[in-house]
Amino acid sequence: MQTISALVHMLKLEKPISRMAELLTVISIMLGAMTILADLGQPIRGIVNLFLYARPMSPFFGTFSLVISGYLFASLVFLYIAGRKDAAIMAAKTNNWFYRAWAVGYKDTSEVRERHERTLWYLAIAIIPLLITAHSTLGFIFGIQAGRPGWFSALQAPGFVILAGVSGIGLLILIAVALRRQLNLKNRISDDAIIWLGNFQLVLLAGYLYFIIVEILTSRYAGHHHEIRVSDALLFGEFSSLFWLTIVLFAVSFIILFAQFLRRNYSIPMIVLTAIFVNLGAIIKRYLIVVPSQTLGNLLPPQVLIPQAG
Amino acid sequence: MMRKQATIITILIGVILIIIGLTLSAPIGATLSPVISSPKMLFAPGLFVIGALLVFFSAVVYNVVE
Repeated sequence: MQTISALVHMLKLEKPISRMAELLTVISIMLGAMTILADLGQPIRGIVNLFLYARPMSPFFGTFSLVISGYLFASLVFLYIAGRKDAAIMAAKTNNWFYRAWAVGYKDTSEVRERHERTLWYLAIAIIPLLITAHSTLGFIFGIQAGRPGWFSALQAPGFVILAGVSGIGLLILIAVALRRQLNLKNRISDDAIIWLGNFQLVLLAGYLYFIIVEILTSRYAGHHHEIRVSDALLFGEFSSLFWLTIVLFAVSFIILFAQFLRRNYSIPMIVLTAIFVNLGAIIKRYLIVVPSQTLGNLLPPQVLIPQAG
Repeated sequence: MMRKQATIITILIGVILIIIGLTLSAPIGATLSPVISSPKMLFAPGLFVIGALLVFFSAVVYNVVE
C-alpha cells in the first residue's frame, strides 16, 4: 500500500487515496509485527534478543530490521510530512493538542509546501526499493528452505511482493469506496481514482496468475517425487478444493477487470467485487503457501520418536 | 542553511551507524562455529536499526528545523 502512496505522489494522482494508503500501511505493518510477536513464546525476550543477537544472514533479519525499522518508520515519516498541512488546518479549527503537535512549526507558504512535496518525492523513491526488499525477505523465509519441497523456489520472493500488492490494492479499493459512501466524498474520491486502482490491480493479478501457472508447470513437468507429492495434494488431494477456489477467485477477478479495461466501460461495484474476491483468494493462497509444504513437504519419511527410559 | 546542515549530519550519522552495525553484526569470512556467526558486539543489530531510523528521520529534520 505504501507503493500506492508513493506512486500517487510520483504520478500526481489523488491525495485522499494516498492518505488512506499511508494510514493502511502503518496499521498493517503494526498488526503484522504484533501477529509475529504473539506467536513467540516470550515476545519481550524475542524483541530484546532481536536487537542484541540478530544475524544479517537470516531472512528474518531483513524482515524485522527492514520492515519494522525501515518500512514502518519511513511510512510514519511519510504520513507525518504529508499530513502536516491538513493537521495545521485542523489545529486552527479545533485547537486539538494532537493536531498542534503534528503541525508544529508549519507555515503554509509556497516555499514550505514545495519543500514538503520535494521531500515526499524523494521519500517515495526511497521507500519503493525498501518495500520490495522487505516483502522479498518474507518470501525468502520460505523460498530458501532447500529441505522443503513446495517452498524451495526462486518465485517465492517476487510472488510475495506481487501478492502483497494485489491484496493491498484490493483492501484499499474497499476502504476508499466505503469511506466515499459513508462520508459522502464522491467529489474528493472520484470514480477515476477507483478505476486507476482497479487497473493497477489487474496488472498485478495478471503477474501473480502467471507465477502460479509457472510454479505448477515446473513442479509437474520436472519436479522429483517429493515435489510431486505436494503438487498432487494441491491439485487433486486434500488441499485441492481450496486451491481451485483460489484460482477461480483470481481468474474471475482478472476476467472482470480485463473485460472492463478492453471495453473502457467501468463499473465501481464490479471493481469492489473483484477487490473482495482477490482478498479472499490472497488469504487462502497464503494458507496454501504454508500448510501443504509444512505437512507434506518432507525429503525424509516421517519418523516416530519413541522416548526410552534410562 | 542550518536546516541543510542538520539534515546532512543526521543522514551521515545514520549511514555511519548502519555501516558499523552491519559490519559488527555480520560475520566476515567462512563461518566455522556459532560463535563466529554471532554478532561481534552486543546490540550491533540495534545500531543498524537506529541508523536506518535516523536516515529516514532526516526527512523530518529537513522539514521541521528552521
